[in-house]
Amino acid sequence: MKTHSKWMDGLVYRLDVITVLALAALLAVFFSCVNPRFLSVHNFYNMLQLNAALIIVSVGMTFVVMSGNMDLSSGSVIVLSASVMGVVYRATGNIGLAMAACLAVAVLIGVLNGFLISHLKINAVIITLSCMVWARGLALGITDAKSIVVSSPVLQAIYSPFAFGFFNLSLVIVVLCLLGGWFLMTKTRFGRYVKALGENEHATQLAGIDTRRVKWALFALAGFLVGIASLIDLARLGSAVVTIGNGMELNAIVAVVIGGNRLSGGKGSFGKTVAGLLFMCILTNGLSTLGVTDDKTYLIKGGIILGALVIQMLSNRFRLYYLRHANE
Amino acid sequence: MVPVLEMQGISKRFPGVQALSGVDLKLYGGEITSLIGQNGAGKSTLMKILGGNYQKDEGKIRIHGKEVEIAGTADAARLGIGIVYQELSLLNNLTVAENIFLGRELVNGIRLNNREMNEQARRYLEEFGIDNIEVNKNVEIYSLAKQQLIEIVKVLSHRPEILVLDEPTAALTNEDTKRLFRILFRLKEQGICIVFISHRLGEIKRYCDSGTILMNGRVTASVRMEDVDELKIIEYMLGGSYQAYEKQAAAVRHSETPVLELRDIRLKDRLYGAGCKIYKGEIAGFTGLLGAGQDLLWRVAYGALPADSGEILVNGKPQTIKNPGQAVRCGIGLLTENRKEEGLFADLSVLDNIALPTLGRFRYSAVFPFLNYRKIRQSCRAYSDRLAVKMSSIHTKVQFLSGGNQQKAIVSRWLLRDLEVLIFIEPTRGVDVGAKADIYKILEDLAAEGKAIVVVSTDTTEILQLSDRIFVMCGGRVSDIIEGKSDEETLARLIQGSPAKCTPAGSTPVVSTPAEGSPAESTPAGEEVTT
Repeated sequence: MKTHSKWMDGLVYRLDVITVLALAALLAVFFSCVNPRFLSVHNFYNMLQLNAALIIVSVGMTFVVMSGNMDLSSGSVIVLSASVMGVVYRATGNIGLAMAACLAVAVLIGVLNGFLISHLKINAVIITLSCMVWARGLALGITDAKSIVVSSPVLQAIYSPFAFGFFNLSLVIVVLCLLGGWFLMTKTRFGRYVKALGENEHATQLAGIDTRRVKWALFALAGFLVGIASLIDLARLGSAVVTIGNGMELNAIVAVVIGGNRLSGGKGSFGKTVAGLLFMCILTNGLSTLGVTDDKTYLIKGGIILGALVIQMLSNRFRLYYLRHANE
Repeated sequence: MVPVLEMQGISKRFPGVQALSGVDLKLYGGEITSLIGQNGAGKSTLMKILGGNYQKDEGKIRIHGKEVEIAGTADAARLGIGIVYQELSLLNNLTVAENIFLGRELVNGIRLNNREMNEQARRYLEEFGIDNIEVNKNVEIYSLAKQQLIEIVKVLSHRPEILVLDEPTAALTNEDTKRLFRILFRLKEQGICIVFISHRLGEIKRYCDSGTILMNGRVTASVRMEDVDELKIIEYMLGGSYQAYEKQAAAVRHSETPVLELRDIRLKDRLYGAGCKIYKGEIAGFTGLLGAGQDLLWRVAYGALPADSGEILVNGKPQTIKNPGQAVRCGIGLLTENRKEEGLFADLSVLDNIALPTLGRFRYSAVFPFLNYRKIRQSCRAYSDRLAVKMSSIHTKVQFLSGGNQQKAIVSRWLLRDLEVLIFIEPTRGVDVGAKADIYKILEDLAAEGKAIVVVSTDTTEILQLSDRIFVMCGGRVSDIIEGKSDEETLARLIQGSPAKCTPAGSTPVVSTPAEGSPAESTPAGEEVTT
């Protein structure tokens, strides 16, 4: 295997990302054949806007998955914090207070989940699964399952373009979240401890790291990002709808995993998440331009995701096989 | 002279067990002290109290004569205590430098200063004379021996005054052990006091200055190494009830047809046409350097690894063995050194562990296909009694057994299957001296009953004590076969091998005894008579 070039080695090393990007490109080509307007700058920017919340939630999910945990509550927390925001706005008319309440609820739930997971040592799947149920219940309770209109110039400002005719605050926030997440993950102690935690919790503790604090901070961070996602989605829709954030956690997990991040934690990168997001965004957006009914959309989307995961798994198996032999 | 560390009257109780009672330990600077004892004697507990993982119930710890409290791992680190634990605590997904600096990263503001950390890590490695390790590569690409060295460097980079090594050599070859001790001797000269825990008495005798011996949580003796011999140490460990293992009788060859023959086994970059013949009633020892292929060859024979080419003959008939199930049906069983991962079901009872692969035989009948538990219990008891597995009952979970008894439980499992060839890979790794002799006795008894026993081990003492014939492997082939008596030096020389014999891509392996050439590369000359 030593005869292979460095170039080839590097290519195989990044095969997981390359596979997703290739699949994304394939989808893009298909959708643009069906609908020529698919491959336009306008549509691309539209795609980013529609998926702003998903991208932001995925940033937090990358940390959670990297640490070897799982957060199933994101979608429900989005609807709960959006509902709280709606209720506060309806009661006080103060948009600043409402936004603060929205973020506070999301962070608090993150802290609560983090506490239960780290200090009571209960599995994250169990904790966030129960949270997924009770948070949605609470949201329905405080809104009577009705939408609350929140129309404020501050929220409208998020989606009004201030440059190039399309560049708006939501895109700035998305980019900031991605860059901030990347920086936190690769350039700070926190990121390194999250990675260490995902590989081996016991060894991380032995190194003198307070893993409970890391976990706590991790879920608080994820909660904060969910809060921002909730704000952004509410601003886009103009009202706190009960279906807001529906299935968000699963989409985020799929985006993170399909990009090649290891589901059991410890291995991955932000680049992989971004690649996975690109795939998911193209898929969702492309399907919506096809104009098929909901039931078919779900079926096709699920099928394509399944196929992509299988291809990703096979390519990863090849990648590991190659790397193992190239190392000898 | 004031000892650097003094532990006095240390007691520790766990629910149901008095792990330590009134243990005294004194360590002096510039000395390597060994902590000796069987599994469960309390060595690790004592060191975990020192490292702040456990809290003592009673007793005092003094460092340089001043009493200290060690409430947690952070305290221990602050007091200059560095511990290399038995299980490596390296993180596979981080680089060497990232591992060394884990928990105390260097930062510029909030940004990690990776360049500086890499630079310092490189200097540490250099300081301890370790080359061939790149600080910016993930640790997972390095061998176990190198990881062990990285772990030690990680602990040493804290500049401890007291260094504890808990069985650091269990996975190391002789060569790596020597390298490790070269580093330890350097540290010793710098006045660091070192605690060395190992099951290998030879190493302890050779390298340590003094020893404290524990039995059942009490100190039975504190000795200077020059005053005692290995037998004396074993007496202190076991309370005087030990008889050194000595092989009773040489093998009786029951048949001229080998029960198992491997021909020209090849595995890309690993095995280059290895072969051998194994007869009923003998113990065949396979040894070699780490990576010489002795374990891989037998994993191939057991169907756990697919070979690229080669033939496997059972009782003279060619067989395809592509998975362990087929191997077991051919009468071949394998026990690995990875008891935890590859052998045992820690959460299941001894009974379940023994009976699991044989359950099919314990149905009432084909029409009433339910398990007859009374019969299972009887059979399992019969075998576990025969091997003297120490346990409170057959329903005890296997994780509560000591290493030696776990090993016996797995042997019972294969005895129940009534196999003809039993392959033992590193049968006594992590097993203490008392249980070791038991296991040797069992292997010998099994061979005497007419089973063919294959022992794969890097422990040359073990191989010499046990084997009727010794197969030395080198560069993926059987390079030498020793029949009859041999000694450590001869074996060590053969294991190191000569370049002519060990160049992987080379042709026919040379067989040392007797000196006639062999036509087929897989048929060593020593066995000419039988073909």
